[in-house]
Amino acid sequence: MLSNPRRLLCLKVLVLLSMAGSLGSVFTIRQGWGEIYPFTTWKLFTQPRGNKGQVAFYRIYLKEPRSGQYVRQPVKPMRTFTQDEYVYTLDYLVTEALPDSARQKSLAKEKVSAFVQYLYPEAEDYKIVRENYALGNAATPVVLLDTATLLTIASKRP
Amino acid sequence: MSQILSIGSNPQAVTYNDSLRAAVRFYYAQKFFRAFTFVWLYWNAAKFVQLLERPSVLFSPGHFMAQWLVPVFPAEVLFWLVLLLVGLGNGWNLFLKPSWVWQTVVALGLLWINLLPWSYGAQSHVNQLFLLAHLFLVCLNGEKPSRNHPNSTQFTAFNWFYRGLLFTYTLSGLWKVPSLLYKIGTQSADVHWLGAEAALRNARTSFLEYDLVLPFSDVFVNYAWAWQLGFVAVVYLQVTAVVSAARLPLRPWVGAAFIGFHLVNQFAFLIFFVVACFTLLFLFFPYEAVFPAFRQLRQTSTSQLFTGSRMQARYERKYAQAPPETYTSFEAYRQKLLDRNYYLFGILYLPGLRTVVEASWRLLEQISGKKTTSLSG
Repeated sequence: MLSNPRRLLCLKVLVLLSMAGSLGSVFTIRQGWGEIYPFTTWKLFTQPRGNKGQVAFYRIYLKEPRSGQYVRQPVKPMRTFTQDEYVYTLDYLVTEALPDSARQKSLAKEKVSAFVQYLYPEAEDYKIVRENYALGNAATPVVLLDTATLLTIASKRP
Repeated sequence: MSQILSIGSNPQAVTYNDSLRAAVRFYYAQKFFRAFTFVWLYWNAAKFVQLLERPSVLFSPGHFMAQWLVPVFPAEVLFWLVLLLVGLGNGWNLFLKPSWVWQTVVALGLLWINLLPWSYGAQSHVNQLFLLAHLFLVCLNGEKPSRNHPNSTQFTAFNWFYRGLLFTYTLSGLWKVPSLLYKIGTQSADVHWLGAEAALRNARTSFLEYDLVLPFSDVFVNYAWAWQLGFVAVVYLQVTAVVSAARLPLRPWVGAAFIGFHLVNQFAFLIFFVVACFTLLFLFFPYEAVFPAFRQLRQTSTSQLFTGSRMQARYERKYAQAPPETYTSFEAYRQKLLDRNYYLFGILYLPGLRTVVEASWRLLEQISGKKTTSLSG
């Protein structure tokens, strides 16, 4: 079966189509049409992360019922979300919801709310904060520059 | 390899041996890879059980194919049906006579299963090397060494399989080159990959993202040169990967190098490519070093002779039942060293190495020729 030249031709065509699909996805992504080929472009880490010297991450802050103060929740494995999944899902959902931040209701904001309530069922009220860090250099450490509240979500509980 | 000639009634021994080696290697590679596929299915079945617990509103397929194939979270029975079909197909191809129909079911089913856990905002490249290998296996099947008759069609097919896989790395490497040149050319204030602080910033960002303290900053600060050199080496290996794919002695080195690359990324930068590591391990391992088929069936030379040096080097092998083989110049050294330790000296097939070495030999010959002329004049 392996020595069949027709199967070899099929393999060659499949490989060449795969290469073309990967390259074609570059064009379609740039045009805003999304990835046409599921095996993507592998355009990863073309620049070091934090190459501009500053980075920003989203974090969940929960309001303590007794003190009324918001407490920062560190990233860690929670329920069915690994640490990695926690980070990218939060990042994806918040990025999707930001254009709707002024609106009272939106599906994107509903998703953020569902995510936070799923991870922290006991939470009363919570907010999504963007934390900006200066990465420093060989001689200086990482410094938290500032924080900005992006979304505030009130509990649905009565 | 350049030495591979078409196989006639009296083939070159090296051609036969290379075809046999590739056939034995691929037969076991696909077996182990398919066995690993069951582990992958188990991981994804366990993940699916977890996904059932998540609020359905969180399911957000972002990929074009995910939006088309799984616009909403699938019914539980559908998932288990697909998993069963993929498991059956994979089992059939692993234990019975492989079929391209079953492999098509496996490749498409795996692609569909993979869409589910990554429809919560993740990037779409996850597990793609694994899935791509299954896609190419639709057109390829290595037969049992005892039944197989290695030939050039098989050998070419294996090379195309690895070319297709490694093209992903080539593309990944190619993207890094213009990005780097642009940053250097525009004298950007941003740190690029050859900057002394690139690895430190990259690591700090990843650890910070996970709210972890970077425990080994000194490794990035005191040995910045190692990370800079490492980047150059990685880009070279990635860009040339599609060429390396067809070089049989080099292939295990390429697999090991990319596994090493992923492991360094994992521990230093928290960038996890677990399935890619297993895929590389199972598909690039030199199985003929472990299983006896190759040693039993190969043609062994009766004598070897190495004469001359540099461009005049000549290496000859003689066989009892095949025509003699003669290699010259750098290839003579490579073949001699391959006979000494095939796996160690396979690294001499790195793309560009022969060109560089032979060019430097020619340059040295020209320089020494000029000196002789000037002395005699």
